[in-house]
Amino acid sequence: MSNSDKNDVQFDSLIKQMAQDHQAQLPEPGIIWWRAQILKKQADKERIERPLVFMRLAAPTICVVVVLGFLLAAWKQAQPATNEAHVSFLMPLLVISALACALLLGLLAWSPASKT
Amino acid sequence: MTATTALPLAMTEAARDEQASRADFESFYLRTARVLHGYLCRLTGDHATADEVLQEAYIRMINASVMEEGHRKAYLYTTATNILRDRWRKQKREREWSELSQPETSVRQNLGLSLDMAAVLDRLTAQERAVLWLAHVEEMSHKEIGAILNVKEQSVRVIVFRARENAKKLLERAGFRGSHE
Repeated sequence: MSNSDKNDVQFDSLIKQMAQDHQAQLPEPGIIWWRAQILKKQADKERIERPLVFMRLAAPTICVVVVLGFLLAAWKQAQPATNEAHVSFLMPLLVISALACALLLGLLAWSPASKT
Repeated sequence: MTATTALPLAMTEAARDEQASRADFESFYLRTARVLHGYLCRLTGDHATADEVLQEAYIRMINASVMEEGHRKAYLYTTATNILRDRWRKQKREREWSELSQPETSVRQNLGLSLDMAAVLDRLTAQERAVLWLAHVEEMSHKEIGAILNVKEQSVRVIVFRARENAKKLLERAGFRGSHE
């Protein structure tokens, strides 16, 4: 065996010795197992709830779009009626309602629950 | 068999399967965790990071699809190395993977062989430390090491040779003379 080969063998035994001497406070395997199970269940839950979260956002959005579409389509017929003095107080109420709806939609989209 | 008896039976079988998987994992963990922890400690130089990466790698392995015993170790090392590289990338320390570590710390002399060896490895690049560990401690082939580190097999051969030579030089400088004395 050449010197180089002997050195390789010695180097190999040194590095193996270092690995054997390594001391570690390892966590219990049971803890890792349970953490994995919890994370798996969370991931499963998120996957199952994804359509629900989507629907929770989609439903009010579709409602608002339909109502706005309806209002725009019927705007010409509704305009003379809103000009009359006894229903003119409805306009600010409608604007406030629309703003409240937009705010609620924004909150729904932003809330942490909708992200799970 | 009625539905009322089939359901508890299925549940018992599922529980039994889970118990078997858990026992299998625990025995695999006890066989591999200490060495993997050593590998991560050598790469990071930090026990806390090594602990975190180790746990994350095992969790990913548990939640990955069932695989053969031979592939599990390779999967584990690949995952752990990738987690570490992702962390370094986030910390913008990716260059450390292929650059030399800080040379100001001198190799401690005659404080015990393993300590010398640890100090020698600390002066190599993370990539060199990884290939030396995988080649000598885990006794993996160049092909397996290449797959784990995402490096071509030919390049692994060169990196292993260069790393070994560098480590030997550092050991000699630290007072270890090897067989030619």
